[in-house]
Amino acid sequence: MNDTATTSAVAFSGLTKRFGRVLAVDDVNLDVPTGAVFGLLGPNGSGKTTLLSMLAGFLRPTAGSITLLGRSGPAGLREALGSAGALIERPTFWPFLSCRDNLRCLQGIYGSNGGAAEVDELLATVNLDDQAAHREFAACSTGMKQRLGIAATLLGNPSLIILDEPTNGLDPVGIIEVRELIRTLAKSGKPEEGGRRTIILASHLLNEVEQVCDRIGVMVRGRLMYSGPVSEMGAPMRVLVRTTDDARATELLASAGWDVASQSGNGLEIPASPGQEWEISRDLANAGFYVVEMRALGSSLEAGFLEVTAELKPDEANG
Amino acid sequence: MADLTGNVVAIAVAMRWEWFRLSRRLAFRVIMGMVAAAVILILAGSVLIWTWPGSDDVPPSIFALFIHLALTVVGPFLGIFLTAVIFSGEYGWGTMRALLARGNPRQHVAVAKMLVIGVILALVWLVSWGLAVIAGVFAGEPGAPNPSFFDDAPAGWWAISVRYFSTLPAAIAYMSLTALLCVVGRSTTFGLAVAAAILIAESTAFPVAALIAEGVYDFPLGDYLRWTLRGTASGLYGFYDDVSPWYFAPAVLAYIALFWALTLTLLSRRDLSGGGE
Repeated sequence: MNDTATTSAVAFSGLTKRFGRVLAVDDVNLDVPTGAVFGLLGPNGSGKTTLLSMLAGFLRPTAGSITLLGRSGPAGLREALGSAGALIERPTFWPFLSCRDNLRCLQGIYGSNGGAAEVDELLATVNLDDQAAHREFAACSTGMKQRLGIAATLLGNPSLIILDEPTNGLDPVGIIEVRELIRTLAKSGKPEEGGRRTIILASHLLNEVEQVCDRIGVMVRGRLMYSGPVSEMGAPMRVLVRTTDDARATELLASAGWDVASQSGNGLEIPASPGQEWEISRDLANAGFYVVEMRALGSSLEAGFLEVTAELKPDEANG
Repeated sequence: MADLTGNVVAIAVAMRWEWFRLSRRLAFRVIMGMVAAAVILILAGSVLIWTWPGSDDVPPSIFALFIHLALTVVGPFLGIFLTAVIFSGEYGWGTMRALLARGNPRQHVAVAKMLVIGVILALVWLVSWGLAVIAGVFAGEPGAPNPSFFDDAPAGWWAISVRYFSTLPAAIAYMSLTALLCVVGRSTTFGLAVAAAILIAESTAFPVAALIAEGVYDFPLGDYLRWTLRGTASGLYGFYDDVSPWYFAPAVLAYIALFWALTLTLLSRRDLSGGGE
């Protein structure tokens, strides 16, 4: 299944990776448009990390090719990777250096000339305060390490950011902050690149991808099963609404333009996009109805993901 | 030419940050502290011998000679330990990925590391040599006759200088072997353990094997063992009477070149996993 776009930040063509007898990535063809926030979804072991490791130059493809920021071939990819920050699997830093010194060291190695101001700015961006910045990496919590990993990907203001499970180990507040950061980063690209930055986010958390990404790819057992806009994947989300008079509410909602899919003793099921719940509530309230209960019956992405992954039969996956 | 300049600059930058990390490592400070303590102890011992009643024939070059003898034993181990500290830790921590992110060529990283180790080894040799010379100059006239209790010591400062610095290429050869083993095993433990095991086995098993082969089977195994890494290093130290130490210099350099070539080739072709293996 291919996703084509006019300008690609990343393009995989027939990309395959085999470890001995294990086929980790199987003939992946994918285009990630420039400026997209692309979510790579899949269960653990589906090949997401292997795919991103090949993109970052850590693993060599068994077959196929990669075009990154318009460049391909070993020399071209190396050059392009200079404009790509990657956090893959887990943040890796020198344990005996402080968070600040780790960033300074990588800044020098990556040839970024932002100086101390860039390091301070990045530490602030990922909410590592002065005390944390001076702590040895070995003594940092998982969440602090993860934040430092994200900061390192931002060194040199790269055009492409690759994040593999960036919210691993973060507390709920941290998760929300990182999601917000990703949204901000997507809009803070270089002016010459239209102010947009391409972000590839690998995750097995459906809601994380749904909230942050505009396009997604779904991998299952090394295969890319779907790629395209999030909004086009799967069945629409449904909202369950229970009121004091469901029959009358159905009529009112229908007249307000809502498509009431079903009515049962448990309430009304209404197809809706994420964030539309309040509009349903508003229309009912305007008509003098009180909502007794309102909840989402599973996200559209969840339904779509299950639909897509179900396409791969067990015997197909063993190849 | 621009490529060459770019490579040199990139390696120089990598070396700078390699030193930045190394200078903050406790293990490195401990190793260097032990080396400094050893040099000072040897010099103090030499002063004791030089000032001992009835030791009038002991020349000032005894200071350099004693340090040379210590480096013959310690030098290869120093090369091995420094390499383990500088090179293979990156695999354990997974930081090889951090170093190679942003498309940094793998060869640059490896060459920078090996050059840093080479520079540190050279500095250790130079500083300890300088201390020995200073001690010798203060002790008396240079160029005095050999000490009677060490008949095969070379006469004069030039000869002792050559012998003294002959231990440096041997240490670099073992450093290069350890770098190769670290890349093969992708772990500190593997590189350190295997390199040290090879060195110890060479030093102990080879002489025994040569004795048995010559004594029992009348086979001149010792002649062949001269071309092993340890054999060529010993030759360079001047341990063989029948040939000049210079005879072994090309062989030691060939070992160094071979280990470097294999290290760079292997590093550039292998996949880089997440670390912590």
